[in-house]
Amino acid sequence: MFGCQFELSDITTPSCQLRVRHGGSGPPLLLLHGYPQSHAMWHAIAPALSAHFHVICPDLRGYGQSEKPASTPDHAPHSKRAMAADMVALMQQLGYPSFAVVGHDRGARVAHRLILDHPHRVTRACVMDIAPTLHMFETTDQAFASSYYHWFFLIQPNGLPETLIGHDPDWYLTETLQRTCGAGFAFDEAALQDYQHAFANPDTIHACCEDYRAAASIDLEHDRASRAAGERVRCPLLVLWGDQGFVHRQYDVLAVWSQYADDVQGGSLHTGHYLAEEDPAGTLQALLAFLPKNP
Amino acid sequence: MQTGQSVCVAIGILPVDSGTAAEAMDSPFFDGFDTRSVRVGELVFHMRLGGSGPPLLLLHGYPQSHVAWHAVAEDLAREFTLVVPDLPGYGDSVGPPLASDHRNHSKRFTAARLVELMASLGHHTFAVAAHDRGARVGFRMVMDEPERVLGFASLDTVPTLDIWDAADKAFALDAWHWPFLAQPAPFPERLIAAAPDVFLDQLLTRWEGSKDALDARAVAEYRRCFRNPRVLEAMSEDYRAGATVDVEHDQADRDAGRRVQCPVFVLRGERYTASPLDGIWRRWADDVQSLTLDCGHFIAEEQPADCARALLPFFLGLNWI
Repeated sequence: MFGCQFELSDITTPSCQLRVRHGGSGPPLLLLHGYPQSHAMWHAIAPALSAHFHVICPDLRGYGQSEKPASTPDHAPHSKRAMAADMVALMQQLGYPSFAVVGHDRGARVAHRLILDHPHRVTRACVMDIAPTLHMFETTDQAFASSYYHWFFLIQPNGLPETLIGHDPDWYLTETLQRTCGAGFAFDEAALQDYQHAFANPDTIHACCEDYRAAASIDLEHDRASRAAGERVRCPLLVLWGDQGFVHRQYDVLAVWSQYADDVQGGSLHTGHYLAEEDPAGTLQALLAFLPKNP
Repeated sequence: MQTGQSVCVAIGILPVDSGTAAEAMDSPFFDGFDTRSVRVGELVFHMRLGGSGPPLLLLHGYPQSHVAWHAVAEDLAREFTLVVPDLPGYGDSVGPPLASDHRNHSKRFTAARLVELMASLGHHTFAVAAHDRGARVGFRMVMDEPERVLGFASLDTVPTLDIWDAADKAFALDAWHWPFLAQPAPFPERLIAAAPDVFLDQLLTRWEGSKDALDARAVAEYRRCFRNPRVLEAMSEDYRAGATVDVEHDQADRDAGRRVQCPVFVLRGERYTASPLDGIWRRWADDVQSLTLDCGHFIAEEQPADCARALLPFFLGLNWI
């Protein structure tokens, strides 16, 4: 995966030790993965992007092989704010005070929070296959609760989801991926192994649940405070989604994002949830058209 | 007291020789009741029968079995002939095969089979007291076979369509098991099977109104049943039907303006269900009375004396033919 121009490092920031795959040359481009994955999900597009950018693909805290911070009752260590702060520290350490960011799924929620908390750090952003967390919770109905059952299952207390998932994590992981990708798609074997390797660690499973617990509590507080303060996405925002997925069915995606961002563009690809893996060419084309490359 | 005996009757006669049924016979509950297994089509209803008087069908909910009625059965049996089955696939009842459209676990299907069961026992008209999933079956029975049901008591439950209509973040947080159990087979049942006791205990603890409100012997019985993968499958299928075909049936009734013909008595455990349910029921029924009790979701187990005291005059006051 990724090829020889990428190196895999453990990078210690003041807040967290992160496993980071990075390579290429050009302006900095931060790629943030989602659930239940790791940075390996970028394998199909990162090499091509590295011809134009210094591409930086970390595992989010708790995910993949990054550090698993201790959880707290208020879920603050797994808030998107904490994850966004990791990313600012990581990019600072690599010498980039500002950068472009592309996020998928949970990573897109981190990107959204990163823009709101650190508006001067982010030059351009892309979010893949999400509507804002606040919007999704505030418009919850039968269709959302059914398709996104895991938002409500993973936040159950007393380690219940951890226990059930941890009994056979490979099966849970494969089943979850297969249920949300486009019809007939098969994940790259090496990438899948990286996801499975992470989920073999009970601390990863717990950290992922904590990510969702934070999303249903402290992240919403942050999002409401941002809305009350008039904080919006001011940088150009590319919104991509898969036309075989729930986000496409449920939301007028660009209209929803326009309530949260000033400068929104985007559209759908013919995929399920995993755009960068299911349609790497289409994803690359959209990203390269949107991101300013070196002259 | 007379010891409960096991009797097998037609529609289909079944030997009561399985390990589960034998264990169930050792149950400390339903003293003096008969234990029977009755085949209705492809279903086998495991049930308790007891008491004397007009017939009253008691239907339990999730994640339980007929044992949920153990604390009120004796009081109710003084005035009524009680039929207390496990719902299809729950407890020791045998459920139907899974159907891709979940129709075999629709409340319509279950209600029709229970009407057959009652008829086979000689009860062509009867009353129904029902809790949780059982109350969804009871509601469907009242709508589909109004001439059969003389009165309906719904414990802490409103129709499925009203639940989904009002579904929002608070609902999904509180009743997360609805969308979870409705995921395609075998995903939820396989996850739960990893730790059935943990799953069951967490639900019971969350839904009861006070700590250890349920009889430990009843909880042990729920656990025994909950460890059976076929029970887990049937329960999930109940919820899959509840997210699809049951909603269609409710919607068709609402669109057609069909209403509940019999008196409805709505009991609510206020420690679990925060808002009154009467308003929702009045949209479906003309004759609605209600009572709020100081307990959680398991009214018949948490406040059995008050529950029985409320149910008796309601059912005795029906227009028994």
